[in-house]
Amino acid sequence: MPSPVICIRDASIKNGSLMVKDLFPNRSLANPSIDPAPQGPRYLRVVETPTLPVLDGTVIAQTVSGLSAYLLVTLDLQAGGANITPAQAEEIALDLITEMRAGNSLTLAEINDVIQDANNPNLNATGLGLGDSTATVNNILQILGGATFTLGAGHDLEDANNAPQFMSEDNQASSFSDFHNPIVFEDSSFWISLAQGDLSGLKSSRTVNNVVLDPYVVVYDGTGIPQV
Amino acid sequence: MPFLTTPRYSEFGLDSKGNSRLQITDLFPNKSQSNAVITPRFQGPYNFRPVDALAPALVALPVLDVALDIAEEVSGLAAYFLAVVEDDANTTHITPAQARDIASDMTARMQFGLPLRLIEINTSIEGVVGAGSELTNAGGSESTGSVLEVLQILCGAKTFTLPVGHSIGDDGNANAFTPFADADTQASAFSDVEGYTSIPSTHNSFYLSARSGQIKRAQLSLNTNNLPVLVAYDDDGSVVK
Repeated sequence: MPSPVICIRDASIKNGSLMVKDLFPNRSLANPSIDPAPQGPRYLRVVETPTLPVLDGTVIAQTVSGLSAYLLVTLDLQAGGANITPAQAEEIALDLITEMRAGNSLTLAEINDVIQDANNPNLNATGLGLGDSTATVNNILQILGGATFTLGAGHDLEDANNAPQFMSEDNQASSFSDFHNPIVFEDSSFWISLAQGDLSGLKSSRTVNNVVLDPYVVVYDGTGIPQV
Repeated sequence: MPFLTTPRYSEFGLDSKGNSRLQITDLFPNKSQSNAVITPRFQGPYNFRPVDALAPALVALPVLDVALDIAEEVSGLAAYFLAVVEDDANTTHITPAQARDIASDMTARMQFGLPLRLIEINTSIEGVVGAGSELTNAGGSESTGSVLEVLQILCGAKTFTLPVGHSIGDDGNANAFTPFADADTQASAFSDVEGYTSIPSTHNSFYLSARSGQIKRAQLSLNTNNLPVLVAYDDDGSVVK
């Protein structure tokens, strides 16, 4: 099963400001000789602000990271065997972040709706699973959960024969930063936290001065369904 | 249930006295800290006891007599595929050489930590025997077999043995394939391997280890031939990493 993802909804929160303490084993108590690899505390990361990738022809001119970079190299424009433009990638990324911040579902169908509803023209047949697109729901969720996806300068959107190419899932995996630490689906302490612990509180609405505020986080299962 | 195996048996398999040489310690609860009264039964340390998956014995070529019966008792993956795969196009048994080729494909994939799901096993069978011969009747043949059984043999959980006289084809009926009479008969060809400890599929700390602990590091630790220390399979043949 793909890893569940914790995404920070509140745009005012900074990296590392929120911590989930109640995952097992906690690093402070784990004995590296005999205990499982520590799962807690988990410091939550915010999604990177999308950056407009800069191209020199079909080559990435300067190193770029974030969701727009990911979409640029994985989406097949109109399932026609061409890459989307940097501007389209940035717009879709902003729209997906808006959906996440609203706590909305981001399954494959809903991500495709967002892509196809973007204001840029000619995206109504573009999406995950369409044409040669290689983007995956879980990788998009991981980036929304703060994972860093980086395209190095010199990455070419076309192959040696000048044909558009889309990044394979293996290459996508190796483009995430080393510190990216996905949640282990089988970690029961994560699900206990979600049901009864720290994560349950973080994903619930809060009342401040009699005003109901949005939750700090939204937790998605690996397929993009928000956990309530 | 998940399985562990190694393509580097001479380094991490059993020693000459049959003792385990590799111990996984980051499983919970560890025996040294578990309390028999109030903690679950200890899961660690886990003494790794694989079979030598790259040894010739695991892909030993079965020998058939003229009546298409097994002439000499034979164990291993090649024997398994010979007994469970039908050549659908010709409605005959497959040849021992084809069975060995499929088995060798499986061990070659394991060497480099590649998945062994039904689709990969069936792709190998199609490549060697032809379309329609896939496991689990997928192609309409009389093939049986399962991913789980392949993993049990490859990872040392069970031994599959065909006794002398076991028939795999009918020489009086154009060499038609003779499958096992039923699932129970097929299951009876498997025997437990002494000392093997199964890993429950509900064992959370195994997955923590495989995805972020010692087993993960062992899967990423390659020698100069790009062979990992360990390969961890889930029961559907996907690699747990």
